[in-house]
Amino acid sequence: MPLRSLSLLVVASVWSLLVGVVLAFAPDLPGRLWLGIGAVAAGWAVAAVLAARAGAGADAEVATPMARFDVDLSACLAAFDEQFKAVEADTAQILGALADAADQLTRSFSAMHSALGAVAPRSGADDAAARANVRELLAAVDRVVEAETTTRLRDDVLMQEIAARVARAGALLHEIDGIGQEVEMLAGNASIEAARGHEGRPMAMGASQVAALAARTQAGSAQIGAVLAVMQTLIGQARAAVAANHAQRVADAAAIKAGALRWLADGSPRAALDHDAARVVEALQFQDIVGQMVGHLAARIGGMREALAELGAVAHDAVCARDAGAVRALSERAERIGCVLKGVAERGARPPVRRGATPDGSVELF
Amino acid sequence: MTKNVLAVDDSASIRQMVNFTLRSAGYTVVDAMDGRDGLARAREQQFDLVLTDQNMPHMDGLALIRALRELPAYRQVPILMLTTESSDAMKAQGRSAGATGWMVKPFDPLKLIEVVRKVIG
Repeated sequence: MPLRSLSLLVVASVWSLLVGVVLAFAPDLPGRLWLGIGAVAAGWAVAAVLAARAGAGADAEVATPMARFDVDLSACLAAFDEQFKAVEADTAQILGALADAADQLTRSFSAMHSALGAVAPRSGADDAAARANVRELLAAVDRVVEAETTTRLRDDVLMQEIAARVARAGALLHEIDGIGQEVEMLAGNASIEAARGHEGRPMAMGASQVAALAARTQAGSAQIGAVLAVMQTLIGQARAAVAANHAQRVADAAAIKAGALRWLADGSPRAALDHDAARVVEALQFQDIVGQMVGHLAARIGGMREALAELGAVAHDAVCARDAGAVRALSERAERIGCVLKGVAERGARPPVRRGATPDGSVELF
Repeated sequence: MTKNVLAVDDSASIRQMVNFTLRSAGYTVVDAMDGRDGLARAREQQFDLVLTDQNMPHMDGLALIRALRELPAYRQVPILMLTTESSDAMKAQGRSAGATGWMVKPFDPLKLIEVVRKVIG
């Protein structure tokens, strides 16, 4: 029982006992014995009610910061999770856009390839059929350039949206950090009050729980923050790769077009066209590389969402933790969150491909 | 006689690019979308060369090579890795699994044709 409740109970009981004794021994008062007993009983009943109310008030004071923390943290985590869902949806859109672009470009390339094949047997004779085939090739090149322009605009908008959402998620993370620090400060004050003996043991217990929860939340936030930073770098790499890819393909298509025009004009050898077509094949593969990078990003976001959901559950359950066993269980769960995030970070450190490291095209026979 | 090549990659665009490149050089190409699919196709038909990616769902390239090397019909068949992975550690794993060679994506189509000619003629 809290000190405040006990004090109230003692004071009210002594006071009602005194009134009862005075009434019971008052001279010339009819039924004085029963009046005295009644006064003592009523006084004790009032004392019990007051003590119970004071106890409940103290419990409410213990629960208030925890409950507030839980509500604030849950709201933040929900908003955070919403951002990640949006990032996942955007990532899926980019993957779809890349696949569409690959299909479209492959069709265009296929047309180019057929046109080149048709030119070959006639390369010696500059006849009307060969010219028609090369004109077809030029039309296919124009389609590649057109497709690239559309795709580039779409990819750029989507990448910018992803970057904005990651930045928003980062801001929310700072809010979680802020809540953690605020609650830790409240918990510190409460511990000082408890040490002075103002509120006694229950408040001290509440303070240690809140402090532990705040510390774990901050540690989790720091880990998620580190993963977010890597995500931002990865998005930057993907954007650079997409831009380089588009630029490369447009340049290659332009080279093929120039070669075809030269062929039309002076009958240059077809090998030059073959060489340029090979460059297009090489450039088209960057589509796949960007797709892998975005896929890697999506996997990382998935891992973070898992960790966030568990962090939210720990914060929620901390409100109900009233003993050392429950707090230990929460600590174990917090450790598991750390493990999940560590796993996400380790997998993140091994992307299937890095923009600067891959396009070497090297060959090694064992 | 036309040589048969099995191209295993989870990316449809890469499969198409390999297909275009090798068909234009006179090879017959069959696609498979991952290691498991590749293994099934290799059991159905004998290929002269297997080209495989490393990172794929269900079964990766190294697992596919190990599984193929278990099959008597594929003990001597050349297997080339065609992957974005380029670390020495991965190459060493590929070599010990039984890979014949390692090509890093994005591949140069003319170089791919040259390597394939060198390996299977």
